[in-house]
Amino acid sequence: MEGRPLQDPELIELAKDGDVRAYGELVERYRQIAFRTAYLITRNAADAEDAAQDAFVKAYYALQRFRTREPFRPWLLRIVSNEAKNRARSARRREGLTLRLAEGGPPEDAGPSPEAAATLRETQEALLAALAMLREEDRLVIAYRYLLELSETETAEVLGVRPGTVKSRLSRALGRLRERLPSALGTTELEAADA
Amino acid sequence: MREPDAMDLGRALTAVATRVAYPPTPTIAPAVTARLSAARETGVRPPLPGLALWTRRRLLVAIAIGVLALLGIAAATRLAVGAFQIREVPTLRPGVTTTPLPETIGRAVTLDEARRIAGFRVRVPLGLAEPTTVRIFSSPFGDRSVLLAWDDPAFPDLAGTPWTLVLLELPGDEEFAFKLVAGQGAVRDVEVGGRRGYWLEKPHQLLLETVTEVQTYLVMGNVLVWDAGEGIALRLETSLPLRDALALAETIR
Repeated sequence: MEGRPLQDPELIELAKDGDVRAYGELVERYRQIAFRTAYLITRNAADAEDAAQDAFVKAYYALQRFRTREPFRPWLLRIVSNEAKNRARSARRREGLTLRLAEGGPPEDAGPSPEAAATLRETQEALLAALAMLREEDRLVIAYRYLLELSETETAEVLGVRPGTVKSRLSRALGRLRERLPSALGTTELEAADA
Repeated sequence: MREPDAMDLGRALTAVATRVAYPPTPTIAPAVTARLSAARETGVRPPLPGLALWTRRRLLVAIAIGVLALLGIAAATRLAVGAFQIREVPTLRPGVTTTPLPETIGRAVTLDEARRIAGFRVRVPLGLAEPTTVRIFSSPFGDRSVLLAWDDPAFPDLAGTPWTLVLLELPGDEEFAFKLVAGQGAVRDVEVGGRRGYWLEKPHQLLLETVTEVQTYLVMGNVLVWDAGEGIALRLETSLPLRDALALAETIR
């Protein structure tokens, strides 16, 4: 292919015409966020992979109903989310969500000292542990908004609610997250985690 | 110690986002495209609402050729250049559409877009202005094809169309453009740039299969079809005589 990479609307139009290769390019572009969205729901890598794959196939067949100039990402992620929820329901898994920090710390220039780096890691692990303890509705609104870094509008579309509902749901979910954090964790530690 | 508020938590969570150890993202695209291609092959699900299943479309092409040829297929001479198949048949079935190709096929794009999207080098005749119409469509095999049309008054009109030149660029060796010409000897062997081609002067019918439909056209102009190399076959429709059409074709790069 010549020139710059095709934009989403161009690939979508080609895919609507039945161009499977163009759709493959879209899949490649969104596979990571689709897989992570599914993983946050299924809590299992194999199920997340299956859910993401099925969602991409379903999205292809639904493309004719998609308005090309609308953002593709939230539309796709809603399909992924529904597919993952169906799979999680049928799997009836009892395991909780396990989110861990990647090995190694932040870049060296981000941590003033080994002690500070250790504190930062503890704080971030505590945050993830508290997140995992939340019920699904709270966990997903936080995860979509902050871990996947979707906008409020995108989060609303993926959850199938109005943007105003995201605001209120997020506020309540953050309140419950705070309740699950160790009492020793105050603004100082969180500010360090934000550094 | 102040209790963290929603803003504090939000900022801390955003900072954590880049450090979460998700399982490695699997390669998904090959599996998805394989499933979609397999579904198309077996006709499990149509890619478009209301669209006949792919296998049914293939059958439709066969039936259409059969009907148009009025059972002359058995005696027909079959010639092929890349994605084009040419059949000389005893008679043509009257009443097929005369809709000009560019107005009904695929979707309109600019020449630049076509060049980016096509997946092959889009060719144009030297010295001509940009085409008036550029359309892109997918073949039944998933390849992108390009149609260019000019209304350049330097060339004679193409009867039944608003154009004076139409250039169709089809990739691949799988045939999905079928030309039916009445009578033996209606097709002449030619060479364009040392490559094999055919010249059709009589009115003939064109069945063009895209990924979404099969369209039939009555072509009133002269047509030059040739192998342009690099897996591309070209079809130039013009009212020019053979000698001038060959000269023009030689400039197409």
